[in-house]
Amino acid sequence: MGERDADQLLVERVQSGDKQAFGLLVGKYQRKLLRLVSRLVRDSAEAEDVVQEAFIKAYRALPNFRGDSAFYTWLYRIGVNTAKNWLSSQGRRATALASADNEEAEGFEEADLLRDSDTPERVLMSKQIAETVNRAMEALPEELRTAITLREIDGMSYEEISGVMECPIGTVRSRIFRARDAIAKELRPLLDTAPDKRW
Amino acid sequence: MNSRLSALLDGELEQDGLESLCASLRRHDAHARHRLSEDAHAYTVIGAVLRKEGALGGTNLASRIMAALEDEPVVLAPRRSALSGWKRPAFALAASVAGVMIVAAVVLTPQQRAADAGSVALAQRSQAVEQAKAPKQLAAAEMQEYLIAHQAQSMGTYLGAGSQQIRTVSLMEESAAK
Amino acid sequence: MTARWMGKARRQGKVGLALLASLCACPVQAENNGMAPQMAAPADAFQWLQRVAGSAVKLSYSGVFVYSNGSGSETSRIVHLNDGGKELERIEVLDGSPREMLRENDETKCYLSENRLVVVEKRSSQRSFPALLPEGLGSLTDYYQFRKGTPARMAGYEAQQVVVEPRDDLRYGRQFWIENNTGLLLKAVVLNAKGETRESFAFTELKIGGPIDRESLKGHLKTNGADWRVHNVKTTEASFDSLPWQLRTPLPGFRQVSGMKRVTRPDGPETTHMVFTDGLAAISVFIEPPTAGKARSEAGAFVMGAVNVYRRNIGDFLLTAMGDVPLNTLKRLADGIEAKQK
Repeated sequence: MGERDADQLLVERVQSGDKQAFGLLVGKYQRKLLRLVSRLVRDSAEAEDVVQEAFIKAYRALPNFRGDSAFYTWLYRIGVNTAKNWLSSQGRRATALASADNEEAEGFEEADLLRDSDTPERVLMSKQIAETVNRAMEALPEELRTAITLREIDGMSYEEISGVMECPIGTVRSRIFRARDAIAKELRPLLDTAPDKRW
Repeated sequence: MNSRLSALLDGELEQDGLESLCASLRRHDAHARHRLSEDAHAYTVIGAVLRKEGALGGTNLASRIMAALEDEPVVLAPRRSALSGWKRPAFALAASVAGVMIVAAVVLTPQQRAADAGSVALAQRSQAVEQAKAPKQLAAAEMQEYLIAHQAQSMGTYLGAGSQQIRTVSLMEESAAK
Repeated sequence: MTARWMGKARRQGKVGLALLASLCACPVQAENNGMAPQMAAPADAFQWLQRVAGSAVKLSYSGVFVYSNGSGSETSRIVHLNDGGKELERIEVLDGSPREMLRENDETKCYLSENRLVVVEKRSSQRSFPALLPEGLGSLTDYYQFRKGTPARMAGYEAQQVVVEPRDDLRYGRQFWIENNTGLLLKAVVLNAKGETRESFAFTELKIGGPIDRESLKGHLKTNGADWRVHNVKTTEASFDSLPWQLRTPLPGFRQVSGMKRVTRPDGPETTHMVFTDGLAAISVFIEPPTAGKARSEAGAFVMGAVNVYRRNIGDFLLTAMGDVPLNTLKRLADGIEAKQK
């Protein structure tokens, strides 16, 4: 089943009353939405607030979501509108970078790591995170590293990866998971001490 | 459960796995859910680093968002898509050989005299009960039945009998189709 | 419907002459093509609203309307004929799965194509809009403020807007657009405290008055398949006061108007269903005993389209309150229900 169908299943679970299932959608898309919103709202803490508000709006509007578009496309529009509304309520206009109407143009890469409005702590944190992940990747057995690379960087489906690596899909899934699990182990201490964790 | 989470993030979790994951989620307490969201966050950060994307320093907003949603009423929306794969049970009322079922509701009104209390005919309606469905779906189906009964009695008929009727019956169909 | 209500109200001696006069103002004239003679436009906002009651019954009209709420929207075509006092009506839903409803007075037949089902029902009790409590009209104005809004033109007709504002936070505001000459309701919305629309109904096309083509009242859905089934719904009147539950502290403006027992599974529990209303909004309370082997349902607040839902447990019983009122109102009502002392 495609990604869009998978999201649709999850949305329908929420629509039948499973509020916790919405947490899975949040987990899946929060970073992507944050990245988008950050292009419109420069301050990181404020961007996070806007993302939170966008998800809450999305939750309330979920009965209106019919699956005519992909879930993320719908969420993305809510994110953009929330950010723009927030900015205008602050008397500000979106930054010049933000012709955020093309969801695929998430092109700003290394440059994003260093942003004017980021605090030194956040910049340092980003670097440390990147280093930890890269280090952990190198320590992985090759088949795990290959699997996660094909998935995350080349964007291949499990089926495609199973073709490339010549192994069953179940093995692909297991390898990707084990790769993530191993890297996350190294990453967790860093994330747990994130500067403004509110929980 | 984390293995399922990993597949979910890739859009590769099949329906059974999704149901399992959601069932686990509901059984877990807030602390366990928080851990799960932290893991999801870590997994997405890993992908971000590999793709050399930005916003790496972002904190995990999931717990905070779910806490904010705690006071929100649970949304319920009628099921629309065929994708959900729920088996459509034999329609609840079609069990009888003759194909006709009588549903009787006892309507009590203030003007009615006490003597009529004896003549009570209670509704008989067989229902294809879906086993092995998570409680939340069952709750939604029950809500639909209640909603039908509520609308049948409520005041909000904009056009008189007609549109109320078709709205009520249509909802009954959605309810039975779960 | 209206006549039946008036009879009841007159017996209770609670209805003022003014109301009777306004409701009697438009006798049905079959030879008039179902058009009521023009009434003088009332000065009072509340009187505008009273004209709506019965106009949908007395008039002949055809059109297209859209109903929408938080869950989505649906467009339907309607044809309504008043033939010397006999009502004939057809509603065909234009979105989604093919459905239509044919009605003759109180008997309705709903044809549901996708489910191959015809639901036949003869309603013994019918409430019309806006339903007025037998207590009299005063109580409605205690809880809502009525005022005239701006005139508007919709679906080709001139209408008067009536704004209904709740006097407390236990109910939602509403607005109605009422056709100037006939009193037919052209549009209605329900608004929350922030003024956001929760529910709306509006004609997008309309022709009031005849002639109505009889062909357009006939059913169009093909029902000749052998797999079509018929479901007959019957209601039986019985006595009151046999319910084991009561409301301990009354909710301002709301009174109980009916109570029922429902059984939906042959071996299933008997559920109590109580209905409360303040004249514009309605609340249903369902109380269900525990079922062996079934998981305990979750308490809490839910939303279904324009209807809010609140569930709580009373001992082993599950109470579900639902209605087009704010959640706090449901909670307050639900929390005030208790078992009667024997």
